[in-house]
Amino acid sequence: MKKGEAFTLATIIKGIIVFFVIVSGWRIMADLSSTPVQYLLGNANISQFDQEMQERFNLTQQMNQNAVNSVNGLIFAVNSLAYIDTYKEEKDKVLGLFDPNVFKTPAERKKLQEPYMRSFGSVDIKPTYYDRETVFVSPSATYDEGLRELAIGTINCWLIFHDKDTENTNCYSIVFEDGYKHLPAIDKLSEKDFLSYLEKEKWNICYYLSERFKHIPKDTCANEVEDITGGSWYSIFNSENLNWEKLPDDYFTSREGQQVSICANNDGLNEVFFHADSLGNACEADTNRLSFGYKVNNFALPQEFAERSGVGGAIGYLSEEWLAAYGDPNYILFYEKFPQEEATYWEMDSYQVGFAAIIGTEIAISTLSVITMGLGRIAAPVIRPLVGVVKVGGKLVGGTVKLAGKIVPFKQQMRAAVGAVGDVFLTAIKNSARFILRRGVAADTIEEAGEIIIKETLRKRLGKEAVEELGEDSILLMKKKAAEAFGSLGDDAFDSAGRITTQGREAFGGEFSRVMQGTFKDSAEDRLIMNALKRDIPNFDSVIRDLGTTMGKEMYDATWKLLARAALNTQRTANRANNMLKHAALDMSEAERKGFLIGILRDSETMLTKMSPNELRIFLANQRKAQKLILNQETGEFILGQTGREFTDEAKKQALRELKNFVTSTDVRALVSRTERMYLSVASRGLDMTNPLMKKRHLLAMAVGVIATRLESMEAKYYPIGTNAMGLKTPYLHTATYGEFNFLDVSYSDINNFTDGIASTDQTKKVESHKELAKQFLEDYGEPGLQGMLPETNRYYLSLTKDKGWFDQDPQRFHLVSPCQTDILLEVSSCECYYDENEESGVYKTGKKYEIKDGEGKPTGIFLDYDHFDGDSTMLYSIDNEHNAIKECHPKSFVETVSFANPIYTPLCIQINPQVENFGEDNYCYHGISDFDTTFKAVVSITEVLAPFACVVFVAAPPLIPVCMAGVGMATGVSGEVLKEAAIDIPSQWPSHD
Amino acid sequence: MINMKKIIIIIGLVLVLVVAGIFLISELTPKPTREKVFFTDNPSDWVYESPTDPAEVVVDTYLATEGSLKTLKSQQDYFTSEGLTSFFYQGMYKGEEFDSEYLPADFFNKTRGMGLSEKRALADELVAMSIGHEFDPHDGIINGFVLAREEEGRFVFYIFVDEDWKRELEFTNILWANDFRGKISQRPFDFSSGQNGVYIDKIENIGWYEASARRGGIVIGEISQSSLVALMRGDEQDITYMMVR
Repeated sequence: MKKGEAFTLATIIKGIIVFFVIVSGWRIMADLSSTPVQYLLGNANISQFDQEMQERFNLTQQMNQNAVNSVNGLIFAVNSLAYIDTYKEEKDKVLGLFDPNVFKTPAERKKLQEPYMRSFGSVDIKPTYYDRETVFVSPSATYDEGLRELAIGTINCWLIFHDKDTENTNCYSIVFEDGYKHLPAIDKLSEKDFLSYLEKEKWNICYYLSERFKHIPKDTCANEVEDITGGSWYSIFNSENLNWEKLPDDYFTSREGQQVSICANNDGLNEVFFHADSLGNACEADTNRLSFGYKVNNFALPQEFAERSGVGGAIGYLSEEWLAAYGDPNYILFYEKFPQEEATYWEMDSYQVGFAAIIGTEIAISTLSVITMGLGRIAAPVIRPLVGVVKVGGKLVGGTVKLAGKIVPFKQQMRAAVGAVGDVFLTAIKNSARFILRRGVAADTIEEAGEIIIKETLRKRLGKEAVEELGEDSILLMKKKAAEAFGSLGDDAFDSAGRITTQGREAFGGEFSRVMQGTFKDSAEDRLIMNALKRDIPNFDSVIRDLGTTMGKEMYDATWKLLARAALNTQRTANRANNMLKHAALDMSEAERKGFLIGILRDSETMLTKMSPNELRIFLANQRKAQKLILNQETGEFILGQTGREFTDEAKKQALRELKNFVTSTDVRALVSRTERMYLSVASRGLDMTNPLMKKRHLLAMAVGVIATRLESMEAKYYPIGTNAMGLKTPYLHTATYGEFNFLDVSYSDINNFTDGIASTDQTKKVESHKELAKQFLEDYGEPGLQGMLPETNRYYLSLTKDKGWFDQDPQRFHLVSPCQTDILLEVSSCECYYDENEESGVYKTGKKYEIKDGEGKPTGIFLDYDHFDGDSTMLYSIDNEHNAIKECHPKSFVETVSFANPIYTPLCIQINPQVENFGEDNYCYHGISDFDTTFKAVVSITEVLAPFACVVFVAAPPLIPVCMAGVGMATGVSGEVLKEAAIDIPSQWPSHD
Repeated sequence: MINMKKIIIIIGLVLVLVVAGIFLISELTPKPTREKVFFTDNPSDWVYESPTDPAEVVVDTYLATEGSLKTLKSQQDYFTSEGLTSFFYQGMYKGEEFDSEYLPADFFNKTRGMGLSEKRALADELVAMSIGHEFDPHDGIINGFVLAREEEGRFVFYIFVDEDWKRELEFTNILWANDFRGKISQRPFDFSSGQNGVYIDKIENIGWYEASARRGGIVIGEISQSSLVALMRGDEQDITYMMVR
C-alpha cells in the first residue's frame, strides 16, 4: 500500500473511532447524568423542567397543608376527648343533654355541641358514640328476615327503654352487610307501612323473638307491640310510638343506608326512633361516660409515588428512590418519642446499618439533644442588629449595619429585628389577649393569666426546650468545642450571638413595646383589647416594656440555642463523616473498602439527583457547613480530626494514602468521574456548593458529608420531644413539635384532685380558670400560637390500635407514617402495659420518689415524684435527656414469657384506631401483619465496569446485618459467604402495609 | 226556667274537669315498679343460638350487662358510675401463649407469600382455641369466655366454656388470687349448669382489679396451684388455660 492510502485508511479508522467515542460518550453522559446536565447538554426541554419544578413546588405546598391540617385535626380530637372525659359536666353539654327542668331548643343544643366539632381543610372532626349494640344482617338473609331484624330491634328497644324507666336510650345499630339485596324493597316502606307490618305480623315476630330471648314470653312481646303500634286501649292519648321522621327519604338505598340506628326518647311522647348513624346521639341518651369517642375523617399524611420518575415522567418517586434521597418517609407523626423498632421497615441502606457499628462515640456534648435544621437563617436577621449596641452619653447607639452599601439607621435595625419575628409573636399575643378577654375572665385573673399566657406563647414560639438546662458550664464547653471545630466558620450569626449586649436587649425591648402598642390600633376590636389590657393590668406600659426585655432575653437565649444546636448538628455530621472515612481507610480490608466507598458515591449521587430543587437547597445549606469541617479549605486535605478515637500522625497519613489510592484506582475511576459530573451539575443549578476544590479526593469527602447529613436527619426522629407532645418529622427539617399548652401552670395533680373533688380552694380556683381558658383554646384551636396539647391530655397514654383479625397486633405507642390516608376513631379505654419499674434500666413508676443518677452513678439532683398518672392508675415512665417523663407502655410481647409474676399496669389511654379501608402498596400508616417475606429493593446497581463489587444487600431482622455477595463483607467483619446464608427475612416493606 | 245553655256549659266544664282529673291522677299516681322484661339476671338467658348461624351460640354481653360493656378483642371495658374498669384476656394452648386465638406455629410458614384473605381462610381452619363470646360447641375448637358483671357494687365473673372444651381438656380448675405471689384459691369448674352446649360457672368475692399494678386474676383450665407456681418460676408447662387479669 502506498503511504498516502495507509494514512487515509488510518485517518478514516481514527475518525470512525473518534466518532463512536464521541457519540457513545455523549450518550453515556446523557444517560448517566441527571436532568440538569441533560438540559445543559441540550437533551431536554428546559421549559418542561421549569414546569416540573413549579408542579413539584405546588405539590409540596399542598402536601404540607394536608399534613398540617390532618395533624391539627387529630390533636384537636385528642384534646377534646381528654377535656370532655376529664370534666364530666362538659360531656353533658356535648351530648346536648339538658337539665330536665330547663328546656333548650334544638338550636341551643346545637350551639353547645359546636365547639367540639371542627374542620381543618377537608379534615372533619366530630364526636361519635359507642353505646349501642351492633346487629348484623347477613347478605344471604331474605327480605322477611331483614325486616324481622328491624322489628325485633324496635321491640327490644321499647323493652329496654321501659326497663330503664324510660330514660333516653340508644339501643341498636342494625347493619345490613354488603351484598344484602333487599334494601330497595325496605326503602319502599313508609313508617305507617312498617307499623302495619308490626301489628299484622306480631305473633310471627314474637315467636322468633321468644325463640331467641327465651325469657321474653310471646304474649308479653305481643302486648309491647300493641303499645308501639297504638293498638292498645290508651292509644287515644298516645297512639303509635314509632318515629321515622329523622330518617331522610330513600334512606335505605342511600350510601349510609346500610346502617340504621334505633333509639328511644322520652321527650313528651316516649317514642322509638330510627335514625341515621351520622345523627349521632339523636335520642340524647345519657351515654355512659366513656362510650363516647371522636372521629377524624379524611386524615392524610401524603406521600406521592409514581410508576416511574425522570424527565417527562410523573412527578414522584419510586419508593426506593425516595428513601435513597431522603432516608425516611415524607411524614412521621409520633407521640413523645418515635418507636425505634418501627423504622426498620424502611431502612434499606446497608451503609446506614454499617454506620451503627462504625460511628462509635460522638463528641461529649450529649446533654443537648434535638437538632434543628435550617433555623440559622431565622437567627441572622434578628441577631445582626443587636450586635454591638452600646450606650453613648446615655443614648443607645447601634452597631454599623450596611444594606446595599448604605448604613442602616439604628431604629430601622431594631424594627427589622422585631419585624423578623414580630408577626408570629404579635399574632400570638393578639390571639392570647382576645382569648382572655372574650371569656370575660375576672380582672385579677386577667393580669395573672395574661402575663403567663403571653410568656407561655412566646416561649412556645421561640422554642420548646428551655435554656436553663444548658447551664453556664455547658454553654462555655460547647462554645469552646464549637470554636475549635469551626475555626474559620465565620458564621456571623454564631459569632455575634456571643456578643449581644444587655443594651442590645434593652433596645429590642423598647422597640418591641412600641410595635406592640402600635399593633393594637388597627381595628375597633384591637383598640378594645388594648383598652381592656390597660385597664386591667396595672402599669401596663411598664409590663409591656419588661415583656419586651424578657422577649429580647428569651430570643437571645433561644437563638443561642438554635445556633448551638445547628452547630452541634454540623459537628455531629462532620464527626460522622470523618468516622466513616477513617473506618474505610484503616479498618476495612481493601475489598470491603471498595464496596463501601462505591456505595457512598452511588448513594450521594442518588440523593442529589432525586431531591427537588427547594429541598436540595435546604439540605445543602446544612451539609455545606459539615464539609468545611471535613476538608481543609486551603489544602483540600481531609481533616480526620476529633472523633473520640485519636489518630496518630502516621495513621492519618496512611488513611489519606488509602483513600487517595482508592479514588485513583482504575476500578472506580468511571464511577468517580460520573459522580464528579453530578456534583458539577448540582452546582450548575445555581446552588452554592461552596467548595471550589472539586478534586477527586474531595469528592469522597463531599459524598460522605452528604450521606452523614441524611443520617443525621434520620436520627432526629428518635430524639424525644418531651412529655405530652406530638412531633411531625419531615426529612431535613426539624421535628415540628406540638407541645403542651398550659395556661396557668396547672399541674396534673391539681386536675386530678379537682375531678376527684378533693382539690384545695387554690387548686379549684386554678383549675376553674384554666378550664375556661382551655375551652376557649379548643374553640380557637389551629390559629397561630394556638396549636398543641392540653395538660388534660397527659392523663392518658396515646396508643395506636393496630390490625385486628386472625392475628392481633399488639397496640403500640401512637405513631403514623406516610403514605397514610384514613379515617381515625379515637376512644378512651385502658391499656394493658407490661414490664415493671426498674431503676437500673431507667424505668420508673408514678407515685414514687426517685433520685435520678447520671451515667457515673452520681445523683443529678432530680427527684421524681410524678403525679399519679390519671389520678387513679399508676403508670410506668422513663426519663429522656431533657428530664422529661416519657410514658412507657410495653405490650405483652415485650416480656419474654407472660408469667403470673409480671404485674400489669392499666392506665387510662386514648386508643387511636385508623380505619383504613384499603391497606395496600400506597397506604402504609403503620407496619401491618407481616411475616417479613417482602424483599425490598436490595440491589446496589453498579454498572458492568464495576461488576466485581456488585452487592446484594439484605437487611435481616435484628441484629441488622448488611451483606454483600461476592465475598465483600462489611464493618462487622463477617465474611460474605456466611452472611449470605443468614440473610433470609427482610423486614423492609414500606410503603406496603403488609 | 233553667237556662239550657248554662247547664250545657256546666256539664261540659265538669266533663273536661273529670277527664283532666283522671288524666292527672293517672300521671301523678306512682306506677307499680315494672319488672324488667328485656334485661335478666339469669345467665342462661344470655346464651342463645346465633340468629345468623344455628350452629353458633352467642353470649349476649349487651343483655348481660345492660349495655355497660364494650367488648374488644382480648379486652373488655366496663363502664360504671365509678368510671372505667377494663379486663384483659389471654390464653395458653398446650404450653403456647396466645391473645384471643391460638394458631399453630407453622401457620406463618404455611402462609408465606399468601394474600391476606387466603391467610384468613387458612387461619379459620387451623385455629385450635379461642377466647371470645361466640361459640361453636361442636366444631372441635376449644372456646371459652369470661364475662365481668357488676352486681351490688362489685364485679362478679361468669365463666363460659363449650362442649369442645369439656371434651378436650382432661380437667378444668378455676384458680383465682388477688396476688398470684400470695394466696391462690382453687376449685373444679362446675359443669352442671348451662345450655346450648355452653357451660356456665361463676366466681365472686375477688378484687384483684382494684390494685394498680395488678398482680392477680382468674385462670381457668388444666391448671393447679402447683403448675401455676411452676409457671411463675419460669418452668415450661404443657397445659391449656384461659386467663383474665
